[in-house]
Amino acid sequence: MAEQLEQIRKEGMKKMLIAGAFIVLIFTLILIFSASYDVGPVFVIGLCVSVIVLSCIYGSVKKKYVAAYKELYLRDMLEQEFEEVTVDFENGFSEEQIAKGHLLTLHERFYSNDYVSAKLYGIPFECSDVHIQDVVRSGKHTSVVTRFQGLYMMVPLKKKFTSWLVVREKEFLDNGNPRGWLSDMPELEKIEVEDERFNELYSIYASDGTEAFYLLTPAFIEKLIDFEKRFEGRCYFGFWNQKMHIAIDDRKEHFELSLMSSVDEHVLYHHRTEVLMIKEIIELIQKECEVI
Amino acid sequence: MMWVIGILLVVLVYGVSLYNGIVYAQMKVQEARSGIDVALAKRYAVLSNMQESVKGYMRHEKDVLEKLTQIRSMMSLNELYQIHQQYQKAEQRLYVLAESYPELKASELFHDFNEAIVDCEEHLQAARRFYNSNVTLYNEKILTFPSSLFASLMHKEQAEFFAADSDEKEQILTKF
Repeated sequence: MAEQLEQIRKEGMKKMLIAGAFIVLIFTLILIFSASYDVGPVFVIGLCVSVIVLSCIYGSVKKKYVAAYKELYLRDMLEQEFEEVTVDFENGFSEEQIAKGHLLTLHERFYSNDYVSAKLYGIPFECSDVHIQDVVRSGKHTSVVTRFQGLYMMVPLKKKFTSWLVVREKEFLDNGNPRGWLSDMPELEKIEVEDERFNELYSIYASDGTEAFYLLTPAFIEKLIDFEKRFEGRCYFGFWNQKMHIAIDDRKEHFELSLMSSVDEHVLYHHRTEVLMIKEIIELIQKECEVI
Repeated sequence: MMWVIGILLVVLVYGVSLYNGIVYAQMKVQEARSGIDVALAKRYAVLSNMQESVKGYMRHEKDVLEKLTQIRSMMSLNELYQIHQQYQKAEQRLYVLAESYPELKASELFHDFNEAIVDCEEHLQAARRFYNSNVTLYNEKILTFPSSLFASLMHKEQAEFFAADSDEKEQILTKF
């Protein structure tokens, strides 16, 4: 398995080296001719083309390598921890699914991959990596800002409820009420629970206060406080349509690896930790989840 | 002159916001109280249905369940609390009855009843917590300065909390 993967990586690196050597050769020729001709514009265009060509090759080689790694190792890691595993490493949640959740605000760019659907202790769950970026234009400058990057998860809940509840970890510049102007969401109201620690940590928006308290029992509140301590990054929870949505903005692209280094124990340990993170989330909220 | 008008305007706007804050907090208390009414009404329905269903087991124990009081509109919080206790006693009697009739305890009907009672209790606890949290906010408003000045002018009094007796209830629920 490791040799097969290493071969793919080496082949990829070879392609990169050949492309690199070819580009260096062309630039050497350009420099030789520069003594007799003005090659300034050709040099600049050549540089741009080289960067594009190298990026394309790197992208395609890395994609092939990562896909092979995920099929060979990651699928196995997931199957060791969970039951009835279905994966789609290429794709993730659709933009529409995330938009319907109203937990995250969508911006210009949306990417999602590493979709996993499985069961743990009979609890079915779906999760995927989500990356949301905003393109900010100010005068002549354009910059890309990451608004969310991390794990997004959906788990069915035992309790029957009809309202909407959004619990978001507080941040310096809070986005305020998650219900936008043109949202199809019902009116949301900011509420506070009896636990001061929870109120300091999270902002709670609910369409029905009584139902929000029904979902956020004192025991579950403790779990969510514990959740924030255990997981790096900003945590968001949404409750609607009999499901709990969990988003952890840890600014990490999970299950990724570099083409430059081969798969070793360190990489495997790192990815196993990421798989165990999913398991830990389910175990933490297990009592509230529906077993199917 | 202009700055005097400006200050008066600021004071006026601030006063209106304090007044609205107190009225809004009171509305929220009333709204949350209706949640308790709904939860108790649901519990009444569950108990009444069960009362009908277990009649067959109660030929020799006619007084196992007394007539349950149904909640009416405009009941005081104290009255609601008494009803809540009456329902709890009725549930306890049903559980004791089930102990004497193993076939009842093992029946699907009793299992459904148990689940419905747990659900009702969870809803009632949620309604009580939501109500009490709104009462806390309201009481804070009418007791803290400067909104306390407006509250006394508006003759607002502190709202009562809905008492909790979750320990007693938990004992009953975990028993079965």
